[in-house]
Amino acid sequence: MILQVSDLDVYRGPNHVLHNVNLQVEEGQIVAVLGRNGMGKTTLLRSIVGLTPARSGKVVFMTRDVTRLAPHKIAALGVGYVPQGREIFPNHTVAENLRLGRSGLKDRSIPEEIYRYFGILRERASQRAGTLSGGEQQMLAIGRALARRPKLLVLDEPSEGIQPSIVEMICGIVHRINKEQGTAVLLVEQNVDFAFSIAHFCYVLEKGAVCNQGTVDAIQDDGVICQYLAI
Amino acid sequence: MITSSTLSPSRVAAIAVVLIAFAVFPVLAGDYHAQLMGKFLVFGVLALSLDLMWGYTGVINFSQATFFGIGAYGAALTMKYLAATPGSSYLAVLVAIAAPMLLGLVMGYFLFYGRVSGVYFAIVTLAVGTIFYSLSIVLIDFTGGLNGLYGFPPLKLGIPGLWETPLNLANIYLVYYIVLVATVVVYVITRQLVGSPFGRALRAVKSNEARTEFTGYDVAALKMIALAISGGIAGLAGAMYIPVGVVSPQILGILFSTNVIVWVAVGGRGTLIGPLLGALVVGYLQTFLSETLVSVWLLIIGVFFVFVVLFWPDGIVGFVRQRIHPLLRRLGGAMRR
Repeated sequence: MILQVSDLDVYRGPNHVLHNVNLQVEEGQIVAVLGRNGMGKTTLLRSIVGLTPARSGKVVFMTRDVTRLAPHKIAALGVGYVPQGREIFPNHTVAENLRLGRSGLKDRSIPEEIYRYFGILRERASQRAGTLSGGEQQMLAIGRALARRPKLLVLDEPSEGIQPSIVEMICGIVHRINKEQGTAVLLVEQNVDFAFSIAHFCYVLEKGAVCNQGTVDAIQDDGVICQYLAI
Repeated sequence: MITSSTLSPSRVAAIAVVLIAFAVFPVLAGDYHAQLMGKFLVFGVLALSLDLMWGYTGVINFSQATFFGIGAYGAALTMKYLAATPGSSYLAVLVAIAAPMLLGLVMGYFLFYGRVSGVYFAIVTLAVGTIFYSLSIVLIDFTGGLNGLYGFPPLKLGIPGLWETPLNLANIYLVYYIVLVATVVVYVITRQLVGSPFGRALRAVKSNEARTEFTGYDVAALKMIALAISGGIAGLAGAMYIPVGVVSPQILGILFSTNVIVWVAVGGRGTLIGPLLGALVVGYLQTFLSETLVSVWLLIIGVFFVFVVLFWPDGIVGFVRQRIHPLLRRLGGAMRR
């Protein structure tokens, strides 16, 4: 098991955002976390990567308890985080953004496979990242997270605000990365089609608690979509 | 004159012209101006040290002059008490660099790992500046108090025991050239530093600290090291100040620190060459205005500063890059036709 979240309780100020969340990601698995806006999906990911402290509970990454570990140390252990809203460095070039992903490593060269997945990044290497389109920035953000060859890729709404054709491309690439590199993926998505097309297992968050979980087929059979994810 | 990472023939020519101009300046302008320019070059190095923190790491220090003053006092006190030791001049310069670096490390460790940042960090720097200013006045037996530190042997250049020549006003040309060479060396080294992976990480910190943190960088450590290096450069400037100025509590004070901020803002934050330029421009403006417009020069400096902040937020370098460069390009294009 690559990631185990046990009994996680997270507060943001006075608000109890996550209640007793239990979640697992196996090696090479793609796990999707679904739910409407404001259900605590982003907070869950932020707690896992160390940006938001947990009030109680445990996060174990590859047998190591990372619950209280600083974000840069969790990144060094092999977690590649791609937050909501891209979060690339706008004043650095594309190449510099990718190189920054090689934090703390002596060898600053970009792994060749990143350019195989995202050819556009090689073309735009010396362009300022802030001038890229939304879809290109998303590819750069994922590329940066992949630079350290992480064991777990954590993606927060990768399809948000991006045109459908690029979303499809990114969906395919995430699937390829998982198949070719064996990278596990923890994915938060509101785009149910995106999630269902690549995930092996799904969790559904409702008001900060896991209300349903199962394989894609099980979730679809149960009519969960209508109950928890539809308007 | 604005340097960048690409060294085209025209750039190299421009740099050469500037360096030659600075090299012949004292010969053409005389002793008084050699001392003045030397002083402003030292200020330029001090401004550069603040730019590393403010322009590249995004952390403002309201008492950058404290590092400068500790460097100056450190070197002067070393000469006062240890002049007899062979190589004391070099020891003095070492102290001038190491003492502020140590302060930077200690401050950085407690403040950055303690998550004190932004406004709160700025206030702490004000407090630190005030502490050292008070110390320099109160420890009158060591520092000479408000009158300043006088009567210590001058820094000497050369090989101890074999041949030495003093660096003081009697040797003002030698002092000028040492300062000029040191300024160029510091600039080149700092330019390399900000272009390195470390420099890239500092710029990432300036862009967004949380983003840099989850990318895998220990942001507190980066800021602490940057503060130490910034302090070391400022301290070196302090040692260089001894032959061209007076070591007094003024150079440690908040008012002087504010000057440093003005130089960086006027020249152009985050450009390295901008702060150097800013120190020269404001320095000369201040000198000549205070001579001719005795009562209103401070007002004019103030208005000039406000003007720069409002209309030239990227400073002189920013203005040149945004307005003059495109103009020159079009001119060049027109002439080629």
